[in-house]
Amino acid sequence: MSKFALFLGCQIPFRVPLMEVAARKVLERFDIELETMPLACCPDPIGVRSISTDTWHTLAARNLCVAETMGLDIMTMCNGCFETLKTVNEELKHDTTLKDQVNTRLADVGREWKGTLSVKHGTQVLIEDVGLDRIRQEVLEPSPVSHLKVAAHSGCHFTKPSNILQTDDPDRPQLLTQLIETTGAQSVTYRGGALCCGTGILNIASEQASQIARTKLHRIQAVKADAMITSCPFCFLSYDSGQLLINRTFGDSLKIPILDSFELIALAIGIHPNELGFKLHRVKTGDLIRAPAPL
Amino acid sequence: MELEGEELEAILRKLYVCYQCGTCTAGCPVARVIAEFNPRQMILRLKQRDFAILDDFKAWYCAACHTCSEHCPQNIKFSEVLMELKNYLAKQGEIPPGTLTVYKDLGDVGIISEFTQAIARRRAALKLPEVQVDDKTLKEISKLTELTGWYDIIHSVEVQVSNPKKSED
Repeated sequence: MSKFALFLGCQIPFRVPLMEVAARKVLERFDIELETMPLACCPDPIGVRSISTDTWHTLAARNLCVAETMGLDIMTMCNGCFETLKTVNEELKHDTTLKDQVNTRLADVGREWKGTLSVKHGTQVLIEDVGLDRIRQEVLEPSPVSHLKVAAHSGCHFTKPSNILQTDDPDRPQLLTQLIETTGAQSVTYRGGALCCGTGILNIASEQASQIARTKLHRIQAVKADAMITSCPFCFLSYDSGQLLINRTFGDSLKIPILDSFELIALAIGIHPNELGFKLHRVKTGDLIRAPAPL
Repeated sequence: MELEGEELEAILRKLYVCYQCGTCTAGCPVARVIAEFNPRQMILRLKQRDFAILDDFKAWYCAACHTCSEHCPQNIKFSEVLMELKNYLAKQGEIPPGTLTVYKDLGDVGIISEFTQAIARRRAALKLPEVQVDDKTLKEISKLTELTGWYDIIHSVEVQVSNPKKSED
């Protein structure tokens, strides 16, 4: 049985708790134990890093120290937290000057980065620690999602910078597609699968951020996908609540349900939508879900 | 904006090998929706020390998706160069107001998301554990933000933002 230090970050627990519910329930089913880390900023790899890379390195290293003390590898379901924690962990391993500088600061709060752990994204935990075969064994027969055509969006900070993160092909990501197929749903491809969700410019140019998200939603609509799965709270928000904003701003009538990857697996293995907080989806999922038979 | 000095030169040196092929701009999701944000052109102007290209917080329009860095045939990590440039600009008091609003309280709160009673109720309804930044964590975050000069940067910007002479043209 594997165990991870769960780093929630500040988006999932507050703004997208349905991701947390699904991940906890799915991983419990697969005997992956999670010990929740104390809440803290990761800090995010765009805003905080843009203002002070020094602060970014140091606060990220503090989080890594907390998990080192717990003696566990980190799991996060947020691409932002993932890029930050993994990048800083790797940079500290390869840059002794940076390591000394960071550790001097950390000494003031009684901590030291030692470099004893790995940082994993939830998608990696599903594929590497649970395994696709094990997931497939749990999928109900027939699969509650077998009628769905699902598009995948894994997001920028899960794959890039690829030399550091080393998760998936940054131009043609495959891992989420594998997860979709494992659930018995049909995966559909579309043009520009690696396109950004736009959230990175939300604070400075919100309408243009919406335009970036809109491009992908239109392409997904064009291939007649029933839903899209994401694996990051920022991407999820860009396409879920963001979709309502896009419809208002541009006069569109998009109605593409957005699911987190853990939610799709949860449905496939028979966890009821009501247990997952599905009513929190802003784009309604009502037509999508074929409720599991035993009721 | 008067920009000079060795710190800036060290950043700009990373752009010297650019031969203007435009691969960065071709793959940039922001360039498609904001014509004034054009990585190839920005690199050219920066090499020419034409810093007007940075006016109106242009460097901050990067979504940090790193597509340009992945694809550059000369291995320029432009998204990373922009990070260094933004760090440099932030120290000069240049942070866009929208960004400042989101991040300025990091050292005092420990996170960048607002916690409300509605969130607490929603979590309880979903049977999720309570979450909040504990005292020890917050103390450490405050100390480390202070040690890394976070408050100096944020406060220098706040002074400038509240100064009406900022738009002096």
